[in-house]
Amino acid sequence: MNTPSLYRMWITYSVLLGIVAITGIALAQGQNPDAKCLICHAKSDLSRIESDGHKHSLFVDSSAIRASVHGKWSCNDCHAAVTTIPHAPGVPRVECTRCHFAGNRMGAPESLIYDQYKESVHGLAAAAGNQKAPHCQNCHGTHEIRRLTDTLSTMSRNSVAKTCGSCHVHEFTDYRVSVHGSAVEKGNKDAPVCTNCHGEHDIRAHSDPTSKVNSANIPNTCSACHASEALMEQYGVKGVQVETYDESYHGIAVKFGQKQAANCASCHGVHDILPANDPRSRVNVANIPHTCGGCHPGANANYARGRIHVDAENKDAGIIYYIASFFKYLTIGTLAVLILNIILDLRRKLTSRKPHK
Amino acid sequence: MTNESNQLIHRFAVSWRLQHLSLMIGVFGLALTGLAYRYYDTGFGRFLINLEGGFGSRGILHRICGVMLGLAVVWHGFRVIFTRTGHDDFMALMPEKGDGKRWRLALKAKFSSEPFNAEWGRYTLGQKVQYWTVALGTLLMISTGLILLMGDRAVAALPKWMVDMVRVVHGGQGVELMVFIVLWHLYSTHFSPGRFPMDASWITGKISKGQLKDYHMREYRRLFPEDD
Repeated sequence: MNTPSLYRMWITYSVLLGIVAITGIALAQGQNPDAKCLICHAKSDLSRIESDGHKHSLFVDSSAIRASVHGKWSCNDCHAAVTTIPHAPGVPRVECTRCHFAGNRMGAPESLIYDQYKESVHGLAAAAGNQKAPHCQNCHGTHEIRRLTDTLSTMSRNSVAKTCGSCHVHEFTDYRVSVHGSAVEKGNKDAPVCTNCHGEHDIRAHSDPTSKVNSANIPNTCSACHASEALMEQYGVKGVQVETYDESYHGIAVKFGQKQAANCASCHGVHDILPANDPRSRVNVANIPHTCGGCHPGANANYARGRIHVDAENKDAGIIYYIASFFKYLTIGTLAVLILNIILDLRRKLTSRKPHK
Repeated sequence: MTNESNQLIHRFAVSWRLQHLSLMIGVFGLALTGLAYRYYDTGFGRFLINLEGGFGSRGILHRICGVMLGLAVVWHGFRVIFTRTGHDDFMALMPEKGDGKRWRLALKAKFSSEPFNAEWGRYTLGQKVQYWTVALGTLLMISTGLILLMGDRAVAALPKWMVDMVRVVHGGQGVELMVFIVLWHLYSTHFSPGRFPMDASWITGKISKGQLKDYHMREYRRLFPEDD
């Protein structure tokens, strides 16, 4: 075999190989299960007019899906109700619990939290037919779902308030200027977002006794951060707020089921909590009479003359500390003297007992 | 023990005993409902609060017992001021000359096993100290209790720190009095050897001649001068 015929064979094989490769790629592309869906849904102007006149976009950004946590899944894995193309209008909502359940084999995170939604205030409202009640997608997003640690996630620390605020507008407005909301906006990692106080999938109505924000549970919920002296010191919050509240009349009454007694939120506010030195704060000295007056008719400036969270065991409490200490040592002294008296009396009477009645 | 030493002598009038009963019920009720509040976070406190029908009724019971104690105090005051026996009994509770010396000797005797009679009068110095501690302590408890009872009006009338101070005094003095009453008064009238289950004079109003002689020699001599 001479050189020119070897050269011809090499050319022929190369051309054949190229044809096979191109055909393979073309065939593989034909196998892409999303390709058919995207024939329509890749059109950016694809939309539907809802019964309320609202325009609902049906455009799907495939690149957003690929970048999401569900990038490896195809349309039909979630939109299982679609069995023919073109499909009839009114495709049912995706059921995330197809994969998201404890013991799943699809690789979704293993957790029992998904079931909590059904009992939550949102889940119950949705089950009762409330069209405005949020489903998984309303909070987590749809095609663009990302990990919570991803700042682009609708549920990341910096986005939670905005996401909840899309429905809870007033609360969001109050929260974003509060001591907590403004800290989160500045990138603080310790300040609470909505879910820290309200819970996540298990959010309950505040009137529900099991709710984290029920009046009986608020002290516990706030304690998650405010009981940590180290954390509070870091932010210049002086004193032991939780302990002093627990020992106050309000705290004890709440602990024993007195719902009308003040909890943290009764004085500090709810979403609009501000530091005491802020003139707008409910616990600013100038506003204390008004705040206390909410429950105590006739509250006046005297209500603000003295510490609110009084710690009788701390010298900062002034005369109250000294009086408490006086009684403490007086009682210890009394105990010591009277126990000694009993010992001496027993010793004397048991050794030389005179049986007079 | 002779028959004579067992002979019972009248010591406390019916009114005196009823005052004591009213005082006792009031103080016990106040202590149990007060301790329940003070030690709310212990098993003991929770047990007491449940026993008292919950946090709300605990407060109501505390106030009812407070009224009972107040009535006992007013009754006592009237009796001391307006009746001869009440006045004499009260005067017998005053410190008198020689109490200090007798106390020193009694204290010395406490450390020995030798028989000793301090020759107290109608009341021993210990009883006088108990009376005055409880009397003054009770007045402090009632006055601070009345301020706290005023609730909102008290905080509106006084600076908050002052009401906090009143609360600390009320709680501190309450526990102090409780310790004092249990370890001294209840011990000496119920648990001191020879007393168990109790010295019944608070019910019968009587004391045996022997006991009077042992503990209140000068009172004995006053009542039975012919025995000397």
